[in-house]
Amino acid sequence: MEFFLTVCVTSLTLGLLYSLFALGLNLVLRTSGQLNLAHGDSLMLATYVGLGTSSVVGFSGLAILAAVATGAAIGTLAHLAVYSPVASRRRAGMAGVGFLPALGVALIVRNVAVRADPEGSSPFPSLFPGHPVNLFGDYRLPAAGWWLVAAGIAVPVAVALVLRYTTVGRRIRAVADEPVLARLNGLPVTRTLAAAYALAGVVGGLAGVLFASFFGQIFVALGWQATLKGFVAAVLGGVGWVRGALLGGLALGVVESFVSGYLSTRFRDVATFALLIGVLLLVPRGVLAGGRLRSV
Amino acid sequence: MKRWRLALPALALTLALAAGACSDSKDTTGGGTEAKTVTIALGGPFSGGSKSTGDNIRYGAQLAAAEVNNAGGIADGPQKGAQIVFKEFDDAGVPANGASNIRTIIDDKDLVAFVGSGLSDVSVAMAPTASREAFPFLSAYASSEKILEAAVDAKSVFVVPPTFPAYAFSVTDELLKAGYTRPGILHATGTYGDGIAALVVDRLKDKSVTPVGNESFTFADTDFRVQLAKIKEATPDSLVVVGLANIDALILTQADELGLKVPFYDPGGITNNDTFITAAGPLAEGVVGNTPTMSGRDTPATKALVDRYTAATGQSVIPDPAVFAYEGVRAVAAAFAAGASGRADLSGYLHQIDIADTGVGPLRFAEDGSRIGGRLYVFKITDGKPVFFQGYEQTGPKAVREIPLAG
Repeated sequence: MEFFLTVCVTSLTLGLLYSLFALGLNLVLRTSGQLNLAHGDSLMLATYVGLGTSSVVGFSGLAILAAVATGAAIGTLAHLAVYSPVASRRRAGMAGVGFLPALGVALIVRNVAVRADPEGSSPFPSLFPGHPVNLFGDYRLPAAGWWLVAAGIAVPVAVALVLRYTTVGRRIRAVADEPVLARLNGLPVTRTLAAAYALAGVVGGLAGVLFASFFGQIFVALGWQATLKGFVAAVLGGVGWVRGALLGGLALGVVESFVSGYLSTRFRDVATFALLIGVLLLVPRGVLAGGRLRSV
Repeated sequence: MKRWRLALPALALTLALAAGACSDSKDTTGGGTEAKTVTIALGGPFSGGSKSTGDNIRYGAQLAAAEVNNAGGIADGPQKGAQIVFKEFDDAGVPANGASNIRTIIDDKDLVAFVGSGLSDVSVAMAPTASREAFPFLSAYASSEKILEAAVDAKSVFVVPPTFPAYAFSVTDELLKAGYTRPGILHATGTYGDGIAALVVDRLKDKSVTPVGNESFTFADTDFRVQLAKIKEATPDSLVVVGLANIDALILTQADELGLKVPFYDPGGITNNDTFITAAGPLAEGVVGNTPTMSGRDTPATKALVDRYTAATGQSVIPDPAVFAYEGVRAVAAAFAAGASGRADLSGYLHQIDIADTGVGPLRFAEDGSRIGGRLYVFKITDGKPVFFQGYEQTGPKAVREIPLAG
């Protein structure tokens, strides 16, 4: 029983992390139509900034803010300096190369992180207050785990509220739904897209510090892992700004944890990607999020 | 339209190049000098996640080259007086890069030998080509016995560190001596993790002990709770972990959170490391591990090596990749001094070298290219430092014997 419960808790914590990774990717993917391959590396670098801030000022709240602000800044800057100018010069027949600028940004961000941490990994203090709490048997979930569960639920809800009830949120949805019409109606499309990248960066920066606080480490390779896991979760979840990311992330966490626990770790990635291919072939809009294309 | 069709990929490629992401080679020792030189291909992960290993390989190799060059070059033989220079080949820790690099290296007739590679998977990918072309290949740090098994043609492949069986057997023997009979095993996949774990299982079976659990993970993993919970259900009395420094620290932390509090054994030679001790904190106490390079080994050669390394880098502990790259270059220099004239006859002379003490111990190679008398020192982390208590010497491809710490 204790083993089963451990697998369930692991499914939940990993799943919520994957959801947060996917949420940032979804925001940009839905708004601009682009897969932001730099999302994971941006949140990784933002987490390093959080670590640096924590070690300099010793105040966890400021470190979390620094990470979140850095995530937003990288996303906004990359959009305004690279993605938007490149997109405005794009011509017919170039649809297949749209991901390349993001790949370039990802490599630059990753190399900045390598310069900052040549060892490739660093211990990370828990930036979230509290003590480990016994869950069942001998299992103690650290404080960052509780914060992760709370944020994993609260952040998607907050993003959904922003998208539904704020001016910038409504603009993001309008640009996502009909970019040409939005422009003709005078909406500032470039600024709105920048806001979407910034919001994705905020979610990413928070996801990064939650990840690093929960595992006690930050490492450069997190960047690519976060992009990959987030992308798989987004595809599994399918349509929807928030619900798809949340359900897709949880589904990925459940599949990974239960396959590792009851079959073997060696089958985990096989099972995950078999499921992904199956979803793409059979229900390309995502198996978990239902059929509504515009759901929030 | 065509102009822009090319421009976007070109922009991305430019960004990638700006980021320094491409594998490349470069002369790091001022090639082009008019003095007589022998040029060694130096390989390793000089970029990517294992960059620190590559950096250490570079430091160790340069230390040996400086030592030889400052003494007037190769000491004797047809290449007497030649200066050692390097041409670097970055594999980024990717086997495919290594396989590509070794082809380039062999085609460059100026290169006399290869020293390097930080990961066994990379060396395993390179060794067959080196053996087929009879090209002298010295694996520094990467130490799977599969590197030698992959070299089926010419006897031109050498592994400078002790091979995996010595690592696995020394720690497994200590676990058995401590009286544990229900070990659980958690190991990385791949040549390194699977290889050492299989040898641990074999050694345990030789003593009629069967592990109560044997779980695996990949280097990309960060959550090991499911595997640890599975092992915990089998009520182990000890835990053998084959990972990397930061991963082992994570595993210790998560085992503690799950309430799995059993002695921790590391047969992979990676916990004698500041990264691990810092990351694991108090949980590192009591961890038993091994290393081929015992700090504080009391011989003149060791003291001289440590002094030179400290003067060059400011670090007092020489990392294992640096030590073995140092020894690899020393071996090549000794083979030239013994009479080798170039890459064609270098391997034969490498089989004959006999360096009494490089600072790590004696260096000579067996017929199969493994190191004869490679040493491992077993320690227990106490008060945040490794305290050594038993030495082991490799006496054959799959055999070790206990030796005293001194000497």
